[in-house]
Amino acid sequence: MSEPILKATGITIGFPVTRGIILQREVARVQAVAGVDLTLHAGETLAVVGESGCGKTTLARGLVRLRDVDAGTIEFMGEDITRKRGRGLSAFRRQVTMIFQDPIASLDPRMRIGQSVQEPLDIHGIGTPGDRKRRVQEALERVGLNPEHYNRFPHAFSGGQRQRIGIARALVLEPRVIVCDEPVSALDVSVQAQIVNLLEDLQRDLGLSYIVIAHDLDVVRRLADRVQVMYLGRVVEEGGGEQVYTQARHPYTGALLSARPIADPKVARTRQRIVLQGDVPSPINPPSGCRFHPRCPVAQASCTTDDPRLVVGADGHGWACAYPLS
Amino acid sequence: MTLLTVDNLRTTFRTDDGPVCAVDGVSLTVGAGKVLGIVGESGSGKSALSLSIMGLLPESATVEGSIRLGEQELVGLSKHDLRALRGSEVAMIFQDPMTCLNPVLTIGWQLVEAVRLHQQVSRREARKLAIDGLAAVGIPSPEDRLRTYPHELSGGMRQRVMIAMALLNRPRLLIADEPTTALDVTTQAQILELMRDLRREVDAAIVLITHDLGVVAEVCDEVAVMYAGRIVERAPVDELFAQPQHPYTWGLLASLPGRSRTGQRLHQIPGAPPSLLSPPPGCRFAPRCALVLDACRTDPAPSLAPVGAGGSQVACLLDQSTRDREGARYAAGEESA
Amino acid sequence: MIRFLIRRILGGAFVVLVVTLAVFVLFGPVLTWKSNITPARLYAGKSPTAKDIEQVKTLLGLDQPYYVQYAYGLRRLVLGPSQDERDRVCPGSTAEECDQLLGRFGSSFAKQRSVDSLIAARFPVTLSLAIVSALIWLLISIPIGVLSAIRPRSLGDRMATVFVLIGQSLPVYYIGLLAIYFLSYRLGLFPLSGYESFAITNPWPWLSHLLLPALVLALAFAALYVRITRSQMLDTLSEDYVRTARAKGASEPRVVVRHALRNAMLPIVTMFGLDLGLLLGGAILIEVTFGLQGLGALAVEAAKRLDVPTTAGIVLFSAILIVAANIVVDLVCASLDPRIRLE
Repeated sequence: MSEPILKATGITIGFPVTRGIILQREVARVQAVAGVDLTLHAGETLAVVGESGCGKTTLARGLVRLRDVDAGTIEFMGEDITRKRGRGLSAFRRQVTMIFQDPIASLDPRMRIGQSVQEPLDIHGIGTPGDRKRRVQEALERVGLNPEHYNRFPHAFSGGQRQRIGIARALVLEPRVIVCDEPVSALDVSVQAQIVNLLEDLQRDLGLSYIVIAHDLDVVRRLADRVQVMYLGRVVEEGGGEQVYTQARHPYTGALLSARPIADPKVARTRQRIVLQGDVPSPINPPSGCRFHPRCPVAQASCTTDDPRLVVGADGHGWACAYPLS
Repeated sequence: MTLLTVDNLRTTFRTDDGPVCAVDGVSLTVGAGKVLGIVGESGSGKSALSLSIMGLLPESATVEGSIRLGEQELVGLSKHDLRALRGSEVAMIFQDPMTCLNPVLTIGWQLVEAVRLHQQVSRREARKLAIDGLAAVGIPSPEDRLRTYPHELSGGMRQRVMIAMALLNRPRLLIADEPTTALDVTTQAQILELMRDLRREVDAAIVLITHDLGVVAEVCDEVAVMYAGRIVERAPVDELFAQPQHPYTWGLLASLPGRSRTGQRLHQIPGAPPSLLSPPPGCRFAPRCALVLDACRTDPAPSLAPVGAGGSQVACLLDQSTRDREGARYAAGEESA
Repeated sequence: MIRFLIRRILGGAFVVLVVTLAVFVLFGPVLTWKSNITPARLYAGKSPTAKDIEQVKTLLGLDQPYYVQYAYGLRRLVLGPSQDERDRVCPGSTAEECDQLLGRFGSSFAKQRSVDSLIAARFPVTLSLAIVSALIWLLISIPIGVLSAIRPRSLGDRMATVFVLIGQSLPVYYIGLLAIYFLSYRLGLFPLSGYESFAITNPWPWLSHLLLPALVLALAFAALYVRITRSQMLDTLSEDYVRTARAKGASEPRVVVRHALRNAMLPIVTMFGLDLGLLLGGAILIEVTFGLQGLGALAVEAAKRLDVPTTAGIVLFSAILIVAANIVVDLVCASLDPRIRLE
């Protein structure tokens, strides 16, 4: 297998909990991401799936260095970039860009879309003004927009088109990796398909690698070569896309799969469903033992004390559970 | 027994750019104890339809046609009479439970208000009803919850509170506008299960508005598919998934990510829905339809007509054999891009 | 809640401390160095001899290094004048007499009185003016703002917009002079100028003197508050929870008053607290126009006469009022919005 393009080991990211009346001192850290390993190979798509509060967005921000990580290392093409600053960080950011969830909020409404897309080039000081404009127009064309829309404002575009603009902005630097944070969850179903297909086309044509953050296993099924399922800051299961869908071993993955509404009324009426009770606990005070045990349908007594580790087998499928589903 | 009858409803908004007809000649019925799903994407007019039924439209909107609840006509009813119906006979649940509860008032205050707006009961009795209501939607220790503020509850809990509030006065009609869209998958499953349970108990007619065919399959009896302000297909839920009739429905089914198989490209509907300021003449889906005929672009838009024995209705000019063939293909998930 | 309060009070005390330092530096070393104004010379009266000035320096402690002067000043502000200082400045007089001459804010150069007693004499005027005019502008602007938000683009809303424009574009002294000319001079409805103390038995003289200046001052503020109330209310009325309230069947007045107003009030309360704090430091233009002997007028006088301690004292006093207003605002906001209490 080829050398990984992006490799993260033991990533831990926390938020401070402060105490004190005048001088706020940090008394603890809430671990939003608690020791996550992740490997992305060139041309591959890795999906990180989980519900709100599982730490997936914090992890994404850590990976692109929008947030500092407390512990762990991030290697990009064999080079440790965990603590890079200044020029080194800037070079990394040209190679690894990001697409955001909300295409409306992530575009400045007072900026023409050409300027929005061109901004990364301006920031990194790439090319002459003429070059930049040409590259912007190429990027717009590549995402299926009319380059003549250069001078329009975001409000003139539909949700799907705005997400295309967001993708053009991520593409214009000609990156190797794009981190997509919930790229389609704010879009209508028929438009979701357009964006998923566009991402696939771009990957094929440009050899891009993606990390896709999503809350919905269905959406990433098309895109992902590998899937990691997160719960409360940890990876609870990982594996090849189809492995996770068809042979889920961790009860949480099982519950996620089972919770999806199925677009077939006959199946929907008859199937056995695992409905999890309660809400995701607060990461300030995570449960003892296995973090999933209070909501787990198959938890045993030992789960309250033993914290299972993620063990990945030779086939690349791994889970962190003492009593996996069969 | 038919509870809600909407007949040729037209809802028009005055805007600076001209009138926008968000709901254009919609007719539908819902029986007591039944769930009607209204499926459509943003801009299809499904929310304008629900707000028309609730009488919650802004002043810039005009409603024509007829909305009957039982025997009572709602269009043209005085504001005062409409208000008396809202929250008692007709109740509504909204999409985002994060923003739908007043952040500065306690849950208890908001629930007690809902009771006392329509029932002549003491504060104490209203409180008791509120506690029972919270318990019925599966909220643990409901009495303590009354004192909390919305921001202290999770999204799923808030949506439960919204549902409890809507059911407090035992409405005959419940409108749920994307009730699970803003929630996580596992929370969505909890809320859908709750709705299935409640359906059996409350015996109200439910109109469920959603963009998600999966949600429709899970809880609805009947489905109406809306596109650009019109209903393009109506069918019992099993019929819709077994024998979809309208090309737009096919597109929606095929773009569901869960239905595609590995190695297969996701089906996409090209283009975007039309602007309602200047909708295309003829069938509004024609510009995006793969099987479009010349007549689709020029003839007046087709109206809903019954097809087959299953009780489906469709507004489409394609001939029946084409629709049967294509529909069966899409229903089986055999479509290719 | 208590934690929150303690934190805010300590924070406020720190801000006041910084202000004292800034005031000391500006009115002490900076003034002396930049303009060759020595406080001792000013205090010593007309054409003093070098010996007089030396004496005054010793008397006021100005011969000490700056940091010692600051420390003494701060001590005096917090604890009141020390016995030692009393003995120096007013030897042989009774405690009451000495209080008239020496206070926490120091002694005026221009008058043989303490700055404290000057402020104490003027503050009731300013306070009365601020309270009466605040009452007027709130009573005018909040209903108008709410009504025009309920019916945007209606005739009433348009008239409110015109009112806002007039109120915001005409300076208070101009409206003030017009009002004096027409209402007081030509029609004789109000006294021409001056102030009467408040008396519980007959508040009318007090009110009649205040009404016109308060009204003119309120007009300018009301315009601003109408605008803010209207836009806040418009925003709040489009919130989802307002739609929920309507869906429950709440009547429109109930929706507006019980569901929307409280949420819309938050930014208005914040602004009101700051404006009131600011006004309590003196409304110079109005006081001068209407001949009211308030803090603003005192500040103008003091500045003209290079009365450094009085000017500094007023600045410090206003700063304390604004900090206090801020804390009160925070408390009111916390009581209006439960989400703030958590902090």
